[in-house]
Amino acid sequence: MRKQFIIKRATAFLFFSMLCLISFAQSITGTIKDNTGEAIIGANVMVKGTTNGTVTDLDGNFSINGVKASDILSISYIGYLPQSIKVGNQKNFQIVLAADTKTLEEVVVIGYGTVKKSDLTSSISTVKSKQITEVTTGNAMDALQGKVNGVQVMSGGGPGSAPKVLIRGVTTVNGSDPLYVVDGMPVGTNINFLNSNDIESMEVLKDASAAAIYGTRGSNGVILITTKKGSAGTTRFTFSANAGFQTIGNPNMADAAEYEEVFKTRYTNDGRTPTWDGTGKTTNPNGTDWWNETVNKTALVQNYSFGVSGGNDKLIYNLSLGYFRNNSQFDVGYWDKINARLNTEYTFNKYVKLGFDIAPRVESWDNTPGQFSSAMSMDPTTPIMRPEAEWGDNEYSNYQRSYNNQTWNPVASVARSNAHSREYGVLLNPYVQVTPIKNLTLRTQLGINAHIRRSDNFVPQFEINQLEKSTYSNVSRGMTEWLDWNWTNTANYMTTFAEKHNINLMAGFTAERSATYDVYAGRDATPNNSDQLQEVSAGTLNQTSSGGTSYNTLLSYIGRVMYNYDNRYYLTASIRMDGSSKFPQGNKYATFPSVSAAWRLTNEPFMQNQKVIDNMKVRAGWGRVGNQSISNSAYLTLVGQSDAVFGSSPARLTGTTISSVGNRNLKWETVEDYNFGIDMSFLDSRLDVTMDVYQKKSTDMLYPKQNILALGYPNWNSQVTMNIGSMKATGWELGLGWHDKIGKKFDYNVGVNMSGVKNKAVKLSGDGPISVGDFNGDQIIRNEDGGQIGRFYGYIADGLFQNLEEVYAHTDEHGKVLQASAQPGDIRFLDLNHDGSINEKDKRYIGNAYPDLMLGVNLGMKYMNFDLSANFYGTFGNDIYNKTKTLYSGASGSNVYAGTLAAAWHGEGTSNDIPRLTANDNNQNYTRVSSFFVEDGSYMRCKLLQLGYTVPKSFVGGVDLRLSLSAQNLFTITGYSGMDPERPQLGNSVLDTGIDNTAYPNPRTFLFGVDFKF
Amino acid sequence: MNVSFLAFLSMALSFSTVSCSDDSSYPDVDGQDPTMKMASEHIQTAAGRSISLKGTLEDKDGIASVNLKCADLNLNKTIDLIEIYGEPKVSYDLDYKFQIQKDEIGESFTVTVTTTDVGGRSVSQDVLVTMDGDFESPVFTVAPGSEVAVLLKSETRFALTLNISDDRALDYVTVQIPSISGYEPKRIEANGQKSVEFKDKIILPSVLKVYDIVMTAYDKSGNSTIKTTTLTVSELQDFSKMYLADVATVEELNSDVFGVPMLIKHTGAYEYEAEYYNQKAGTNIFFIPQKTDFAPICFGLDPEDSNRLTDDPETAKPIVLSQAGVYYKVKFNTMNSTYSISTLSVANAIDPAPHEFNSISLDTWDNGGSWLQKFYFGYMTSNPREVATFVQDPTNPHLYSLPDPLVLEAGQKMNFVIHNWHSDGWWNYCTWRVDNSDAPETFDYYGNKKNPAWTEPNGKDNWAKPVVQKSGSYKLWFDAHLGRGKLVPVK
Repeated sequence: MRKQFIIKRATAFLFFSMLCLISFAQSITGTIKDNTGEAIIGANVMVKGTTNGTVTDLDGNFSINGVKASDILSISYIGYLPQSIKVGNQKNFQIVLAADTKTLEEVVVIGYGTVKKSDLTSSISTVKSKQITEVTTGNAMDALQGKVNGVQVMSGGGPGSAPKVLIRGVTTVNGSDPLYVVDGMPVGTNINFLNSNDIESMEVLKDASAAAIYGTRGSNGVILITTKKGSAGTTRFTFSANAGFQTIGNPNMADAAEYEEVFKTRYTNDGRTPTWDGTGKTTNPNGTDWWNETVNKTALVQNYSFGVSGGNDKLIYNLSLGYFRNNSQFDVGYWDKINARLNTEYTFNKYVKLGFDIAPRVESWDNTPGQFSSAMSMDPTTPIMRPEAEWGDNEYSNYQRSYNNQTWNPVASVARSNAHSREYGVLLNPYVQVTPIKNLTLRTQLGINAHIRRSDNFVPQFEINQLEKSTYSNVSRGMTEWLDWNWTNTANYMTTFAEKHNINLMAGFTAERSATYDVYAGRDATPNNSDQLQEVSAGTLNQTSSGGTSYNTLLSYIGRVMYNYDNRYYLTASIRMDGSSKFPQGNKYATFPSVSAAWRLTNEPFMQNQKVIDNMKVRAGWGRVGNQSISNSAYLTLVGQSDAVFGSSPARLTGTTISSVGNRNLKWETVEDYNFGIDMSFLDSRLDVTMDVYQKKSTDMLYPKQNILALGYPNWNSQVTMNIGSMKATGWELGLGWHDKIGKKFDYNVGVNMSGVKNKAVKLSGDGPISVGDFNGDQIIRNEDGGQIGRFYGYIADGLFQNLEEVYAHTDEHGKVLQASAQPGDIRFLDLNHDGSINEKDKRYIGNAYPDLMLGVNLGMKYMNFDLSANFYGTFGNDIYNKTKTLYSGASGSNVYAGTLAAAWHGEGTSNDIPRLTANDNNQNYTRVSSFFVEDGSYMRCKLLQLGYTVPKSFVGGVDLRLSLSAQNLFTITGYSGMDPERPQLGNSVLDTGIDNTAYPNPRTFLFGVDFKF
Repeated sequence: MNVSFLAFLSMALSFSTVSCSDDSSYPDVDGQDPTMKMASEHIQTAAGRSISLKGTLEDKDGIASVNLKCADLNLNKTIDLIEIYGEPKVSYDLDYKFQIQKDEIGESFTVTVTTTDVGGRSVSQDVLVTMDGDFESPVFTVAPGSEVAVLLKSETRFALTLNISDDRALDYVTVQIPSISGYEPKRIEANGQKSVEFKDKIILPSVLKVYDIVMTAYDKSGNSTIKTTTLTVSELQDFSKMYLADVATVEELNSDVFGVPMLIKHTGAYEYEAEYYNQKAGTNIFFIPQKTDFAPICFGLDPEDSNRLTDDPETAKPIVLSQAGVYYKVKFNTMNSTYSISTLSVANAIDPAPHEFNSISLDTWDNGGSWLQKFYFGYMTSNPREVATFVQDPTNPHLYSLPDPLVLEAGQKMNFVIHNWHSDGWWNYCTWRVDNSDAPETFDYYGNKKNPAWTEPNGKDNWAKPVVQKSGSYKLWFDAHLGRGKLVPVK
């Protein structure tokens, strides 16, 4: 009876269901907009539980057939919160999508996988495409300045020069740059070749618990770069163009009249007769402004990018083309690159996917002549060219030699500059991904990075003067090929059991090889300087040639476990075993483990009744990472060709000798890292706070140690790489982010990043302090065991002697004169140990090249169709050794800064900084390493100020069109007197930095941009 | 319990208070002023000399600093004892030297010495400094050399000429020749003058004999200087050294550091050859075997027969060089009193310098001329990167001089060579050095590069080390053809 009743009811239900399906199937339409009223193009509108759906058109409209009243519409679009709406009887829908301001569900790329940001247990920062492309630069890392806490980016150096990037300080002397990984393919330590517009996101793995999975090269941090992929839906076209110009500030050097007076005063102050050559009075009465003659007022910079992306449920693709060019401030020197990229992914079925990324490129550049220093020091009474009557056939010989100093004519040097390089490269990334069972993903990927560079160099024959000439021309060509491949195989299993146990397992192995093949040839004395004869075969003398092959290989096994319970307690552990060809048998393999844990307090029951904190997670991590940035053959003792002069009738003989000394006990350099952090969100997730403290310490640091000379190895190659050093970086980071809106039309956000790190050399070579930074036979920087690195070490300049009383009073307690040659106007150096003489024992640490605080402030505002971005970056507490202060001395007849006559001491009370003018400089004012040259290098710079306007779609046929005006490095707030407080931080190495050598400064850039999407 | 806790807290606070006090200040012991006893309240000194300010300073609270002040001497020195010793001193022996400037013209100064203790209490004492100190002994500016010879004549005479000076005041001078019977010791009263001159014609027995002349000068402060000369009465000697004197007075003979008179060649027995560049027409020259005086022997033209020479300084006439801008060569024989004169043009004269001065010809890396730089040479005391360049004479390319004077101190032992400049500090490309410090005017060529026409062998690797007799500014001349230099006072 009951059974019958059930059957009847089921039959009735089925009947009515069929009836509804037939009777109430309908068409619906609608429009999807954002909260500003702008139509959203390409939003997905699906009937939940079916494959019935569509995407919105250019006006945000959609239309779907066969929808029942009981259906639920599911609307989604990237960057907006998804919505579900029951259809009911409604036939037209006006849907407003709210922007997704909560980033916790954001997916973050980690090594060999991805994870929800909320599940992170280590310190990883993400930078999105928009933040990268808003800055027009040849290297995407420039755009990260001030945007990622703990990442110090130091730019400068002209077209094509790569910035120096330090992630959380320094723990090694063996290459401080992080490892860059593009779509899973390690590509080395420079991403100049990459088109910034191709980047979807950059993830910076800052602590070892994140980077240990890249164990071998993770000690300086890892930057994972994900390029843009297509997505199913409407085909989208994008075009962006940015063009503008760069300028460099004029240092304002003295004109001919002041130069002459300074020149002569230096001698007359010493009671000497000036050795002045006054020829310029007749040949060049108006003088020469060498800066303006050598350095152009503007340099063109331009960046164009075109992209098309789209796909369907089987194939997605993203194609891009890019062109970037940056001219130097000289007539010679530029860098340009043409990039293309095609990222595709084909889904065969629910089990198998095939991806193929290909990114060919061509880079070209002419070397930028480094003539800033000469343009500043050249004698302004000298004309550029000799009188026309003296000209000869060789155009390079018609320039005028400096009348009153030894500086080479900078205009002539620029004219002679002739070094060109072209590089062809391709990055390939094919992969296959198989999902044999639910939650298990197997992936194999073969990355290939191949590029070939041709470098041509020609030095013309010329003779301006016996002291300024090249007796022979020289022509050379170098060809280098790099071929790197990386095979990565991973298995990933992710599941949730018992509802609250979430687990993510990964295992894999990788193999890679990096090889370099190079050949070089050169000759002197081509018949003349003509373009047609700038070939090696045209040279007639002194043939030189060289070539070789170098490679290294790496085999690695990787594994990781990620577990969380109820999204409250997280644990991640990873391990990587690396075997490298750079180490000898027995020491090839090393293991790099890491473990990290996190606790999300806000998911605890006891936090559910509060409204203040939206998210709070504490993290702690530990890990070990490695470094192998040494020569491929560091453990091998090699024999090479050598020659020497022997005998009573000296003759040069060629033979073989030990060319490098190997170490058969060489092993991995290891960095151990501890990190503790807190992530918090407040006030409806409008305020984000992230804090981290960390310590990194290297052990077994690889260092070239002086060998024992008694072993008999030649002196010049007696160094041997050993595991002897240790360095420690201890730091903190604090990030604050605020975003909100005022009314319906004004959105704004503010981000503040602050960080500090102390870099300590626990132990270096054991051979005593390492002094670097040559200065008149002395060294500026001293790095010693137990102290911070990069500190200036010299005498303390205690102002200037203002009168004889002060000169005579500068004695020891018994009246012994400390500076016998001093006169009023000279620098007073302190006798700190009171031994009665100014000597090495009176040197002290007088400055530190590394900052105490790095600060980035990023602002964003949007009002109706206008948007404004402003990025500020600065460092505080760092010092600069300003060698350009010698441009107040006129030493060796050099030109001086305008106003030197007034600035230099010329009577009591006239200056307590710039010493008197003197030709002899018997007091060594300008030749001692002293605090006179040390200045506070703190600065705050407006890295970007960009005003954008999005043209209403109704004006431009429904497409997205945004116009922008940008200024980069617009202004700098600093007390530093040199040209650029940022440039000296680029330095030569982590131990040798902070010295202002008048290198290519960071230019101010003005740009106009157009972004076009449809 | 609470009482104990409070007691502990008070004790901890009091400890911390004491501790803080120790760190930042020094508590009084007796709160008294410092005491100071200067070794001298009056110091006599002179321009260019040092004074020593000595004294004993005491203070139980601790002396913080000592200040020495005299505005007229530009002296204002504070000795910060806490900075030097890290703590105050209960007693301190002040011993401070201060150099009075050479050009100081003041007569009297007051130096105020102020001692300040850690409580800020101070005490001062003045020290009078007067510039009337006499520290210099008299100087024989003109006197016979240590050995002089007089030729045996029918009436053998020795013309003694003395000139003595003192920086303050001379008292008297004595001359004694004990071995001449009947010669009464002379006492010349100077009466406080700064200089005195004395001439005496001493008649010697006409026998071959050796005499010692002892001359002593005293100043008013009792400082004295003794000068002795061994006088030999002899037949005509074959003098090993002979000098060319181109100056008129004994003072000029003795005012140089080296080079006046100029050593000439001894070419054979009684035969000499002098080569001399005549800068101006009408130069008078004599030849003398003793460096410091024209007496007792001076070879010049015989007033009776200008084709012959005489050795009598009283009658000898100068040889007059009438042509300017040429080298003169004078050969003479002292035995038979004959001489001859010839000239050599500057153009025909050679010197060993490998390149034209100031030309771009210095082969920097000595590899056949891949990098040529400016060639010049000059006065060098340390390394070839630091060469005070010579100026070439516009008339005579072999003649060079240093444009800037050398300021030298009495007693200073010079240490220099003549060397070319080299940017990398390479040595011995072109250099002249002195073989014998007794004849520092004689420079031998020592360079690795030389004028192919110059066939003289290189000299030895010595450095000139002449001793400066009198402080002053001197000008250096160098003749590369003659290999002779002179360092004479700047006029």
